[in-house]
Amino acid sequence: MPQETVPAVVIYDGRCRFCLGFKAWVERRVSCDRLRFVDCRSRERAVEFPEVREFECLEAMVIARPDRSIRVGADALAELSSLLPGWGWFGTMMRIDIVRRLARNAYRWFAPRRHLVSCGSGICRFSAPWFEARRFRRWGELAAAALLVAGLAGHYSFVLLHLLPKNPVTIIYGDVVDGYVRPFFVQNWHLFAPTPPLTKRSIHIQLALRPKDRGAVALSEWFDITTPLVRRLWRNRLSPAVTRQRTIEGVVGSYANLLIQQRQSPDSELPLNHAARRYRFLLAAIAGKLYSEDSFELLAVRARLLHESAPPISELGKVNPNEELRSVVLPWTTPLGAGLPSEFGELSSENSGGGEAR
Amino acid sequence: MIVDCLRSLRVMLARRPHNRMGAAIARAGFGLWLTSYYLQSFAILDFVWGEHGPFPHSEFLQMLEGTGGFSLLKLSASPVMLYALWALGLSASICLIFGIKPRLAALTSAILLWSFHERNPTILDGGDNLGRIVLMFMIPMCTAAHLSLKRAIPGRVVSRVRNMIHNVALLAVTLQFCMLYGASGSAKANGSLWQNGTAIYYVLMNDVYAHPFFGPLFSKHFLIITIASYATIALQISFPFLVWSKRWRIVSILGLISMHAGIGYLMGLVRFSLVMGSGLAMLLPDEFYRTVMLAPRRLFAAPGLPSKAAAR
Repeated sequence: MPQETVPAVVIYDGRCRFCLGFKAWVERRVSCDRLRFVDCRSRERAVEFPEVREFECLEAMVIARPDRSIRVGADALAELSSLLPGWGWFGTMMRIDIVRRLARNAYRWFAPRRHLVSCGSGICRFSAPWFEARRFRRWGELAAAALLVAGLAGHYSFVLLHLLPKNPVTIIYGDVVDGYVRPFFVQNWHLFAPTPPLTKRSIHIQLALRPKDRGAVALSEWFDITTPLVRRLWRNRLSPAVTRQRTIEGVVGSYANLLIQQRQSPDSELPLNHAARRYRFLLAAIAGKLYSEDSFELLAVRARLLHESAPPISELGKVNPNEELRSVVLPWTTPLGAGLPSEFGELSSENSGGGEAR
Repeated sequence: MIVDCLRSLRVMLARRPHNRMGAAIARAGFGLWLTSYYLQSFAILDFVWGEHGPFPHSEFLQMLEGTGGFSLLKLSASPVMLYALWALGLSASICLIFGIKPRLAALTSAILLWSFHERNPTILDGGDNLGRIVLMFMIPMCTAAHLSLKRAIPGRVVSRVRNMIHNVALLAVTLQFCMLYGASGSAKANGSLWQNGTAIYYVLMNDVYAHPFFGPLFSKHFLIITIASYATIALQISFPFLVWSKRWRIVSILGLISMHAGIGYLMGLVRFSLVMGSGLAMLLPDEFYRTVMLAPRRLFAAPGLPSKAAAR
């Protein structure tokens, strides 16, 4: 037969609504064979615990452990927390001297004010006489509503200024607007406007390989890496091909755009180095899967963007619509970021340089 | 007069939480959207967010310095960290679907979504931009009243302050959508291809955005293309005005949801459409959902029997 356990006893103020709410909260979490509640004013308390005097247990919560040792106030809370599932950390924290002192002071401050808080149906409310006054509450709510709505109005004025085209206000206060919006509320809602994408883009890569048996450097064919991804994407619109295709397009596209911009205005300061580094990391990650490492050594790799413009709507259905094919060949890059090998001179002069259009 | 306005505003905001059904649908929809975001990249985690892609950790740190953004992934380059945060994000989004601790799940999801967005910004679209903003407003909202495993306790008194916070967050989401469609609609109205009604044709000619079967089919039907182009502009531009009218709001939102359903199916932007659609579903009033749910019962009620309303 299992030995019967003696429950700990909590002595509480039975007329305090906060204490009753707290008692109900604890009772939902601890079984009654581990914890028992006794009202401070009851005869039961006077008979069972004569050593705890009534004014003491009305001043602070008291807990009598199974061995009849007594804990009061914040220490009683720490004792109780060891019985509450998920609250053991409180007891652990209370072993630290400064935390214990702070908790005792906080308990001492709150205990005489506990009648201002009343609890029922799982919710506690602050109900001081001056707060209870309906008038005060109504005005409080009114002020809160006004404040929240004013906050919203302020927030969306900034967002509106962020979204509007350049105007006198955004030119003068651009920094203020930017400072507010960045980074959490940055937004761009162009979504295929004002011009939807007019060309189909595909990205191809070419490798420069040296056979391991010391042969001459050879160039591979151009591998189309985005068209198979687009095909896979349409077979399953939630496949990893979507994120892969977007990453490749994003990195190669932004590098190509920067190179073209630089060619148009060579003096402008563009973050070309960053884009070039990402381009190198990307190509190094992709190229590894396109050749056999046993028989070849990868010297360099480059990408090209093929833009195929859609036939204008007026020429749809004609036998030879006016389609335009434009290719942008991006510079060679080495997978490890080292300089290009010396024998690479004739290859790189053949077809390198950014933004080349054919 | 200002005091009167404020008074009616107070009543409107504090009396009851509005659109609780819509908020629950949006919460579940966002959960699905986030789940697909995490699952979609799992097979290529190391390429998209890890060391074997265009953004290794050193590169990512430099990028973060430039944008001044914030990301938990900057704490460590270790794949363990990446997998742990990925698993945490996935669990939080599953909690959102089923409404388990929705506030905590929304907060966790918002922080992790930011972290992953900053890690690789190239995979993001307009839906991600909207999703992360709305998710922030969703944190203080009451979204567990419906479609939730842990339903709010019936008869529990919800404080007026909480109602107010829920309703203000709802208002914020409404305004966010007004900004979105206002900006997008006016930008489209300024584009020459949208003005001459041919923009959709060019979208359908792009293999990334054109359904392999319906794309070529629709691109030959100029009537469909023109109507679709103009309808898109009209729906988007009118939204910021119609959303404030009780009756027209429903028309406008249903129109936009069908537009997004079309985009999701025909253009393949499933995740984008899911987040837009569930965000819009939040703005539909509880009365609308009640009517929709009661409609089959009304339609199929036996004609001979008096209905409840008539009996009263």
